[in-house]
Amino acid sequence: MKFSFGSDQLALAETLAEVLAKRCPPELVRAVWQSESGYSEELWEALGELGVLAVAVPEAYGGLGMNQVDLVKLLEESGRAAAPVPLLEHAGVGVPALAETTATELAEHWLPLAAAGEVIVTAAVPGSEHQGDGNTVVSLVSYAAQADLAILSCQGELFAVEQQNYQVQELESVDGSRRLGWVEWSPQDAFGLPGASSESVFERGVLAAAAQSIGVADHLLETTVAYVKEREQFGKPVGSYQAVKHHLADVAKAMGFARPSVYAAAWAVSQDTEKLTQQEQQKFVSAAKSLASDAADLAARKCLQCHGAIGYTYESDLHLWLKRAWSLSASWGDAHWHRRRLAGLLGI
Amino acid sequence: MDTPEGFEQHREWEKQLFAGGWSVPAWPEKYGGRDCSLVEWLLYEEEYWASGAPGRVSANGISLLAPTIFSFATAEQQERFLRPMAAGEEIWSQAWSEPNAGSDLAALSTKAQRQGEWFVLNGQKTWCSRGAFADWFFALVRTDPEAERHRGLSYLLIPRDTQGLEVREVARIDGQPGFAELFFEDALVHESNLLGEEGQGWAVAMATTGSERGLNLRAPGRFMAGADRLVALAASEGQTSPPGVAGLPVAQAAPDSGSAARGAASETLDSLREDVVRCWVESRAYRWLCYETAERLASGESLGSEASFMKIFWSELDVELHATALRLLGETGELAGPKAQAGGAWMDGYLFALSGPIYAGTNEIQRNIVAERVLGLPRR
Repeated sequence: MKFSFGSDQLALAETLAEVLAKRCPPELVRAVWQSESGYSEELWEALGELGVLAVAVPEAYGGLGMNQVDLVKLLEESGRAAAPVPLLEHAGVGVPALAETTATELAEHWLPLAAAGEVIVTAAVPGSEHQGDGNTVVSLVSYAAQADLAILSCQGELFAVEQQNYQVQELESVDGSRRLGWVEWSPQDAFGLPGASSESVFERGVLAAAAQSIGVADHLLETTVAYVKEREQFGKPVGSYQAVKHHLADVAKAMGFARPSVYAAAWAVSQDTEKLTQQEQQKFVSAAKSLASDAADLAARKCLQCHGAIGYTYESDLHLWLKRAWSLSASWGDAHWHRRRLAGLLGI
Repeated sequence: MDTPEGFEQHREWEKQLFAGGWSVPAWPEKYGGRDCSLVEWLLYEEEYWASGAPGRVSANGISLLAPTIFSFATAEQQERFLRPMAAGEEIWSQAWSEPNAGSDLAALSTKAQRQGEWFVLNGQKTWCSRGAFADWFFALVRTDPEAERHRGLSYLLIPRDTQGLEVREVARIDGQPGFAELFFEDALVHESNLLGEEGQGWAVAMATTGSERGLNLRAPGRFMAGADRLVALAASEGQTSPPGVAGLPVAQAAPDSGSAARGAASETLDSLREDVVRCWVESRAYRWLCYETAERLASGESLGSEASFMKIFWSELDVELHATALRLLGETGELAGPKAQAGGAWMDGYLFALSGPIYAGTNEIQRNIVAERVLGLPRR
């Protein structure tokens, strides 16, 4: 077992970081918050060109045929930039589900398009759906109005639903780049996804949210450290005061411990269940998400505090990341939910 | 470990470990080790603690002093000290703190004046863990009385039977003589016991604190085993009497993934059960961080100030772990001694764990170090 990334993996993450630093400034995130489209088409195109959207697509379908270990640092980078695109849903969850299904016609049609970024595939938390009117099912889906295909579940079965076959009732999230909606659909108008499991969809979604969370928290810490070095009160930088130092040391510690666990979880979910049972994989994933969510929540709270009043304004960019942190830590099961699941897995 | 009889039993255990080649597996073979890699050593530690084997009375020597000996000692000193240390024949105790130099170690004032090939020591050391029964002390002393703070310090290895050295036991919070105070009155220590160069004691000592705060002293295996015992305690069937000595109520079925999105399900979680899980998760988090770090060290990188946040993490985890166990035990949690649950191990462990955030540089100092050296915040 290796405990570090390969040079290819690091190089792709670095390239993505550079592209995001250049093409995804806070102004872009703000603009997308106000936009009709709900995501940055330009950035999406750039990610497609870079190959980021093709990572989990099998080579046979024009992808890179890589796995969650290859993906985890890319998701982390997208979190760091608060990138206003459906990367988690598409690359982290939707594409791997399509890659897994034995419904090859569906995969043949959608995966090459998904790899190039010509379509958006989204996914919902399996089991979160409820019964709608008549034969319909209602699912809470992010980027539903933007997506071309949604991977949804009904009674434990997975389905792929094309946009023309679902109705979206848009909702408003505190995080303006997270476009949520109630989606009403019917399994009769959907493709089955034999071979893809709702359990795997869930684990991958949790992992992707954890990976983005640590990127978000990292950015929060970095910008706050820069701020407290500059900002002076009582004739000294506020970062020289022990109370401020200890807040940020706690964030650094939480981050330092969450990150390796997130990477370990990425390794775990890319293992064959014959090598690492599903239950064992779930332990890794829940440990990672609980640590990452807690770290992101702590970062959000402490970094706002260390910014003082300026951080509480809409004008400051800080809130873009605070809200990203909140929405990620609440989605795909929050820290409490994952500790609860772990309690069951540990037999207590 | 901290009674005369217990200490001797532990010494015997160290000798047995050494005879089997399991005392210091990461050391070179010629000193009784197995030349194993850092990752292998982490695995060894996991197995060691999972087996329920006893704490290591030689820990301060093999984990804190030995790395310094490997880096700074002369060949003769390495020959002289390493094997007896690994074999449990010579147990070492750290003599750094003084009544007026705790977290502010550079304020230390014990003097060691040169007289020919000897150093003449005067002053007082305190909080020497296991000092009551140790054979040797590794000390930081001031060899240049004119120099201040970090300058003019030297690192000395001091035999217990040194003339002019008086060792007084100090009882710890648990009542056992776990500490010693050392009083030096014109005590003579030979220059062959100087570790590193004269006047370079601070630099030499800092190499040891890296080990103390980071991987070497507290490998994750110890906390993983502790967390596993905590999980077992929580899972144990409720015992009928006395009330409170009970595992948690039988687990409910794991929630379905859908409730993850509903949120409310999370709120019904018993906080005690969640605290048990938190300890388990953190023990694993420390594990993955250590493996990642070990791999980095193996590729030639050095462990820097990150060691400080490791120390904060494991010491606070250890406290939480034992405090949670005592909460699980309910009103019998206060029991101590052989009639208590697990022979009093949870209370003993709790009392020991409470020292963690204090020793090796308090966690407040560690947080300063993380802020200043990892995050780069201004010192003043």
